[in-house]
Amino acid sequence: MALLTAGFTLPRRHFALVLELAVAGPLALAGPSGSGKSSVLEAIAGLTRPTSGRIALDLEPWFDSERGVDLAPERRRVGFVFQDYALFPHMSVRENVAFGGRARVDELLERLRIADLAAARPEQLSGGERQRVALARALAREPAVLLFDEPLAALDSHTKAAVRSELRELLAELALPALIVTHDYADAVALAPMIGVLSAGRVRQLAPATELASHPADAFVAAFTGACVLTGTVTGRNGELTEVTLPGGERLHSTDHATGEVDIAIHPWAVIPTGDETGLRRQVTAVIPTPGRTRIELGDLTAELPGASPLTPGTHINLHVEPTRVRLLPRPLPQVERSDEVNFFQPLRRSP
Amino acid sequence: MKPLRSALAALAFFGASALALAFLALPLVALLTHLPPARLVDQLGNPAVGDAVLVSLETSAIAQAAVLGLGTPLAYLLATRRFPGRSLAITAVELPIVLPPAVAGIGLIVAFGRVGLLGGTFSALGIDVSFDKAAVVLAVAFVSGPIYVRTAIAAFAGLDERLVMASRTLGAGPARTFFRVVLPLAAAGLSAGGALALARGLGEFGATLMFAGSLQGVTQTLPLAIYAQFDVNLDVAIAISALFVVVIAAILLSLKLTSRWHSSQRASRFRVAISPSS
Repeated sequence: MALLTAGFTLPRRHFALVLELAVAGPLALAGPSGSGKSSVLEAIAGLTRPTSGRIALDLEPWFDSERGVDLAPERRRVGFVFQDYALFPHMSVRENVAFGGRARVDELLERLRIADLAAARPEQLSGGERQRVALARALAREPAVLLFDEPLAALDSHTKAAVRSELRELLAELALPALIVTHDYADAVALAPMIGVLSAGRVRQLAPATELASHPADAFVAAFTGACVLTGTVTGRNGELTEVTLPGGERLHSTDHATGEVDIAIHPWAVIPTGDETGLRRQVTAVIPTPGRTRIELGDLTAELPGASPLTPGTHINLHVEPTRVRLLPRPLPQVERSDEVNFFQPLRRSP
Repeated sequence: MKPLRSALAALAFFGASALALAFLALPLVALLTHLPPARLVDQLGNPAVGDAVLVSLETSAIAQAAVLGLGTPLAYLLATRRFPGRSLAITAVELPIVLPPAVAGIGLIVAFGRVGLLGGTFSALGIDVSFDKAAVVLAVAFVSGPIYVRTAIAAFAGLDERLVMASRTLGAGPARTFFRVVLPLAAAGLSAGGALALARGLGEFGATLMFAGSLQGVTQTLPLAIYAQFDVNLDVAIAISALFVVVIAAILLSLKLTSRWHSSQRASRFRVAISPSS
């Protein structure tokens, strides 16, 4: 399998994007809007020029600031699927796909189930159909690397679930280096086995989803993956457990080792209502039923329970937080940690 | 009280509008009705008219070709590139639109005339543009070109940049991207600019008169023929003017029809795009 390596600096308005990536299969870059995700794709495709660094496919340099290499976008073999698909409005579906390359048009139209739409114009297509056309067009170019900018953002939730699983299967089948940027952590988890969490131009952590949730590198990653983040001070240790005191005087326990000021990451599934008076006490602010589960908002904490819940907003409940699932993250924020579980991707070097 | 006041306001509003419209339309109507139709058509048989039609067609065609051929790349550069002096360049393009024709005429004389900036170069090459068809072409292009370039800049700037980026990532170089993606998508705006420029060029008078003179069969275009016939035979002047009104009105109307067609094409997108994926 080919390997795309990219290490570059790209100034944006509020920060510099500094990145080191090696991509050999589907890799999702997830982060809030404004974190520089799209710029990463544009730099790799040659649509934006980094100030320094190197981008290469295997041994073929696409960009190398030291050697003065900067291939034009049309000479980099990328298949770029834009957020709004950027289909040519004046061409039919078939002409759009053929623009990428004529050799495999019929095969791709069949494969992506758009053969019956070949004569249609983009404006006549639904969101899901447009996405398949954009994908067929990108594949017609015979790309060595696939780049997706928010591939699911333009779809309504009904269409999104179907497209998401189609896309995941296709990515696995194509076995190409693929970089998928998304603001939606759930989409990232669904589309790629490895996820880099991007914030303010840096990859905070690059790891499989399970590890991002169980061992977040910092408070940002923890919050982005859905944990509630509290702050507290380590006040002691008894046996296996570290005792943390919250600003209000309440105490929590964790199996993590830490000292001093800490960020405390707690995922909703670690929070369990209890009759025990010793736990945290919170007022229920909202009860949100989701399929098969209930999400209970508790101010600075959230609990997620299986099935329906008899709780109503306004009631006070006691909570037990499972110490093995309480993550203590030293403050200030640590440097980006390299994931211990290395697949075929890993950061080439620590981001400063 | 209140209904009365709003009724009065409405009356004043419509009255003012009607007055303005009548003021603008009346001279045009008068041109078409001053002579009986048969007489009007008859006057167009005057040899001065035929000569002027040929001069106007020939010079406008050459000027239009030059405007499209040179103005399109200029407009694309000005629309898509950011460089120092860009605002200055755009101002230079816009100036001839608003300058008095007399200023344009003098400018052309001191630039390309016998005593002008390039006069020496031209005469060394054996070229003398003044009082020649070439002078008419220069004058027409000088006043019509800016109108085309200004409209074309807007057309290019309105293009979705992502489509250009998509074309490049699909393996098309800058040239193929320009001809396959940029030009077709900007076509509506470009043809609107072209039509406006053609209409403006056909009507060019002041700069042509000063720079090219008014020689029947050589430099006398239709507007110059109107002015020449004004002293000799008013009926002929009126007939040419009426012809102008009809031709320019046809150009402007066809422009509106094509832009309406384009916007209806665009509007259809919203009717069908909402349905979810199959």
